Formats: sequence, C-alpha cells, structure tokens
Amino acid sequence: MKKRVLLILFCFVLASTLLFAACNTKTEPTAAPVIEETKTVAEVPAAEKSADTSVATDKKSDVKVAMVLSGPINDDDWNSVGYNGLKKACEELGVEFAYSESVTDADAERVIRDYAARGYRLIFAHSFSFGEATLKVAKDFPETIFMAGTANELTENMGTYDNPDYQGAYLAGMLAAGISKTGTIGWVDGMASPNMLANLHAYQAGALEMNPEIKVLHTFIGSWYDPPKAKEAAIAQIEQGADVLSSQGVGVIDAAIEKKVWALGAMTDQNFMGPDVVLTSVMWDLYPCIKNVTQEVIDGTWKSGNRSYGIADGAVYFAEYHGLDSNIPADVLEKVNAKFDAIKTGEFEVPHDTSEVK
Amino acid sequence: MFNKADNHNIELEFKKQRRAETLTAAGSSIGAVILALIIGAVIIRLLGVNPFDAYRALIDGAFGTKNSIAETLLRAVPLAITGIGITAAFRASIFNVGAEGQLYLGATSAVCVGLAFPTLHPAILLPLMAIAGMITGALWGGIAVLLKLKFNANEMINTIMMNYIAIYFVSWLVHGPIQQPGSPLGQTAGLSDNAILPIILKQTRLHIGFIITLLMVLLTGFLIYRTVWGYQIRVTGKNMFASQAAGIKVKWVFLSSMLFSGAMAGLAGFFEAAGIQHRMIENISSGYGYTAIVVALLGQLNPFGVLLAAILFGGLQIGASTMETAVGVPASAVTLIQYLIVILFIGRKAFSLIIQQMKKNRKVAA
Repeated sequence: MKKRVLLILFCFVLASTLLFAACNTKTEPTAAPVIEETKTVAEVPAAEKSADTSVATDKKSDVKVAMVLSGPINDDDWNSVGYNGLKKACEELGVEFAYSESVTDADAERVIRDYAARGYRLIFAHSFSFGEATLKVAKDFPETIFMAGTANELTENMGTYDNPDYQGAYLAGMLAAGISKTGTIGWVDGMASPNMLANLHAYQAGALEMNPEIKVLHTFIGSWYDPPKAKEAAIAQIEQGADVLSSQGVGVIDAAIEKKVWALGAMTDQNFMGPDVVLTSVMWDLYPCIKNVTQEVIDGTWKSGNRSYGIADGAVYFAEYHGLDSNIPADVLEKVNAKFDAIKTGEFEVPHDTSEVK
Repeated sequence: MFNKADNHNIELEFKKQRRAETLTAAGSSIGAVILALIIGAVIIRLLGVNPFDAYRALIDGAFGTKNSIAETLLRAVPLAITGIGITAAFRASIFNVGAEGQLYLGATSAVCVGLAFPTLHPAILLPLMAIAGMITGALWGGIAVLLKLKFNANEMINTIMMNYIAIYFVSWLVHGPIQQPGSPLGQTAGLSDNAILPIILKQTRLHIGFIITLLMVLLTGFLIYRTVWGYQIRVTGKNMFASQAAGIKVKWVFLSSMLFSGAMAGLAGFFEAAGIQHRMIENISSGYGYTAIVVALLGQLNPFGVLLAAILFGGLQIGASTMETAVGVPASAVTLIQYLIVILFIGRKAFSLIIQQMKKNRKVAA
C-alpha cells in the first residue's frame, strides 16, 4: 500500500512538472509567429505610402471586418441596425466580413478575442456592455483596431461610436406632443443606459417645445428584451392617459394595437409590426460610420476617438409614414420638418443630457 | 484460509475484471459520442451544409489556433471542476443537481472577499477568495443534505429549487447592494489586479485555474479510489444498507460528499469570476452546473474520464460559434449533438435491456 501511494505521488509530481513545462514551451514558439503576423499586417499602410497604387488596391481585400452583436441580427432593432450597416458597407467596399450574434456579456471577450486571434483587422463590438471586454482584448492585440459601441475608456487601437438618435428622439417628442389629444405621451424603454437617457431627455424636450403643457410618462423595464413586461408597462401608461407611445422595445407596439393608440418605432422601420398604429420610426443607420471607419483602416489613416453620425450625416432620420401622415396636423408636420432641417444645417443643436431619471 | 499466493491471484483477477469494466465503460462513452456525431452530420446535411466542412470548422474553432485551444481548456475548467464534485456526490448516491446555484453563490462570495481586501498580496488574497467560494458552495449544498437527513426530503428536488433561490438572490445582489456604482448593468465593481488569477499563456485568457483543475482531478481520483473516505462513498453508493451494516456512518458519507461537491462548484465559480470576468456579473455561468452533470455521467463518474469529457464538451461549445460563422450551421446544432450524446449514453442500458427482454420472450415462446 505504501509503495502504491509513493508511486501515485511520483506520477502526480511528474505530471504536474510536465504540464508546467508544456505550458512554458507552448508560449514561446506559438506566440512568436502571431506577433510576426500582426506586424506584417501592420506594415501594410506603411508599404502603401511608398508603393504604387496597384499594390494598395491589392491589399484592400486583406482587411477582414468582424462584428459581435448582443442579440439576433433580425431583431428589427439595435442588432439589425448593426448587421445591416456592416453588410452594406463591406459589400460596397469589397471587404470580407463576419459576425457573431446573440453573444452574452459573459462570453463577449472570448468571441472578440477569437476574431482578433484569427487575423480580423477591424472588430466592431456592438453593445455598450462589451466595452470592458473589448478593452481587455485591445491591450493584447495592439495591431488590431477595435470599435466598441458607446465605450467610456478608449486606447490607441480602440475607438468608439455612438448613436445620436437622441436627435431623432427630439423630433419624435415634437411629433408625439403634436398629435396627442389627451396631453399625455409615453416612453417605454429597456434599461437606463446613458444613450437611452439621452434619448428620453431629448424626447421630453422636443415634446415640451411643441406643447409646454405636455405630460411625458416614462418606464424602464430593466431588460432589453422582455415583450410581456414591455407590453404591461405600455398598457399602464395608456391607462394613465397616454395616447402616443415611443416604443424602445418589443411589446409596446402590441399594446398600442390592442388599445388603439399611436406608437413611434425606433431603430428600423417598424411599421410592419402595426401598420395602422406605427406612425413612423426614428431610424438609425450605421452604414456611413462603418463604411468610413473601414475605409480609414484600409488606408491606414484611422485614429482612435468617438464617431458620432447623426442627422447631419444622414444616419438618423424618420422612416416613411406609410400613408399615416394624413393623421398629423399640417402645422405639426411643418414644424417637425423645419426642425429636422435646422438640426441638419447645424442651426439647432439638440440638448444632450444623460442625467439619471427617477 | 487463503494463503499468500491465493490472495495474489484473487487480486490479479480483480484487477483484470476492473480493467475490463473500465474498457467497456470507456467504449460505451466513446460509442455514444461517435453515434451522436454521425446523427449530427445527418442533421447538418438536412440543413443544407456539407457535414465535413461543418466539422472541420468545428475542430478549427476548438483547436485551430493557440487562442482557441486556450478557450477550449478554459471552458473545460468549470465543467471539469464541477464535474468531479458531482462525481463524488453521485458516487455516494447523492444527486446534486444544485451545482449551478452553488457556483453562483461561490463566485459571489469569492468576489466579495476580493473587493473587501483589494490590496492584500495575491498569494494570500487568491486562496482566501477560493476558500470563501468553496465554503459558500459547500454550505449551500449541505443544506439540501441536512433536509434529506432530518426530514427525508429528496435532495434532487431540493437542489434544483435551491438553484433558483441562489441565482435570483445573486441577481438581486448585483442589481442592489453590491452593484457597481453608476452602472446600469447587473455587475459588481471590477476586482483589483491582486484578486485576478494570473495568465499562463500569453495573448490568451488561460489562467492558473487550469493547472489547479488538473491537480484537483488527480486529488479527487486519489480520494475516491485510494482513501477510506472514498471507499465508504463507493460502498454507500452501491448499497446503503450493506454499508450501514458494516458500520459506515452513512449520514456522514452523504453530508461530506455533498460538502465536497458544493465546494468544487464554489471553486468553479471563483475561477469564472477571478479568472474570466474579473468581477461578479449576472448570468456568470451559461449552465455549467447542469452541463457538468452530463460531463460527470459521460466521464463514467471517474475523475479522469470527467476531465476528458469536459475537454470534449468545452471544444464542442467553443467550436460551435466558429462553425456558426464559418459555414452558417446554427450553434444550436451543437447543443443538439451534446444532448444526443447524453440520450445515447443513458440509453445504452436500454438497448441491452431490450435485447435481454427479447431473448427472454423468445425463451418463453419456445
């Protein structure tokens, strides 16, 4: 028995030393080529400057772009905007692209790291909750360029982009207040993220500009996707007198159909979800941003920073009314359109307020 | 009585028998995996994708780069650690289905310790966090066994129910008392550098917890097969009454095996929090506590088999997302394969039972 224990102990020690050795030797040879590889990629822009243009166009297809999304790409919301922008921009530029959808916060770093390790040159982390995960990977892959949605902390190889759809939310607020007969309008949202708070404040400001007496209700349901809860919150607002709802989550439009009130969509044209009640939607188009960033990465001119593409860049606008505009008083529509133009020319700046609300 | 030579012969005979048993057991596990992969290939074909391309992408995703190997091993860590804990409990016929909840609570208390002493030296702080996680996991599991011993309440149902209590309690904690100030997300503040497990492979996330996992597998193998405690567990699991008659304190065996199981789940939680997320977050585990049950069964309740099964499942899960992007096969196809493995593996006894029954029927007819 004693012999056996000794034998096991010996095996135990042997195995653990072997393991440590294996891990140590593994690090060196495999790490070296990876660094070399990223170096050669990084040299592309430098080579471009000296070489003739034909080399530069050849190198264009070398850049691969990836996007990591927190939800399904067919959600007709935040994730659809990301995927549609990626697809349109990359197809236009003739660049290879890939995406991963429905990635959880716990798993985001792994997926982003996997793309970086596989030589993707530009990686979009399309959720404000992916910021920190992206930051960790960016430190390990200094030659890869990362763009994280509304991130707080940036590095030299990690930039951010936001969605100034609060500019559209201001217009939506004006429209909602203009068509409301009860003098009460509603806002049903997922979580009180800085971006959503900016939207809500702009919606309130726009509504107050149209009608200083307006009452704006708001609810954050505490989840980005919980249709029954969103519907419940919407119905609660309707019962408090709201007759126009801004829908920032699935379920609100259902409530609007059931209770026959107006709804304003967000992100994509959501009229198809309720053709009789969705007056219009505040659209957000990520295509101009992705196209410019990708082009800059190809050209080697990319610089870290925040990209904000709003109404002036054609990235935020109203969707079609699908014939429902006959329900909007002419003076309201005129005022909204005039405001849109004023924002576009820079004459009017929508206030950006991310303070927390009760 | 037997003389020495006889004794030796008997021992040899036992060894032979045990080796044969291990071989057939390993064979049935491997058979289940292969059969599941074949059925999976048919399903992938029906989805309109060449199964060879899909499996190539799967293997590339799981083992193709240094980073993917690291990620596969990382995914295997919580599965293996929780799996060997479940193994010990199952061996004593204590059905611990509560590893998920034990993992959540273990991770949370480890992070709380890490946040409370951010400046302690890592050599002191990390073990403290690990111990906190293990004790919490063990206590949470222990409650279920105490209920069993006191009120004869079924521990399987209780541990399942206690999972929900634990997960929702943690969710409340990270949205309330221990939430990071100013963040709308369900998470605590980040751990200090002292409270983070060191990386053992550059440019990847593979942390020291992997080495500890290997050591724990060896340790658990030793405990189960080479100690009195392990013997008592095995005997009690085979026949509780015989073991009671032989003077084994069955109650203690039940309780201690569950404490060990809960401690391992808590340790896995500590690894996830201090090695990967670097804080406590809501949904820290994507069902590791449940997958670990499957891993434990597929590994034939043998710690080394559990380790292999954990690496297999880790590879399947990591490779799945690459397969999804590369050839457009949804990752859920891999989830399907995982559960096919389980069904085929559990069903293997059904096959032999059916054959036996048929033979019997034939005899009766004849």
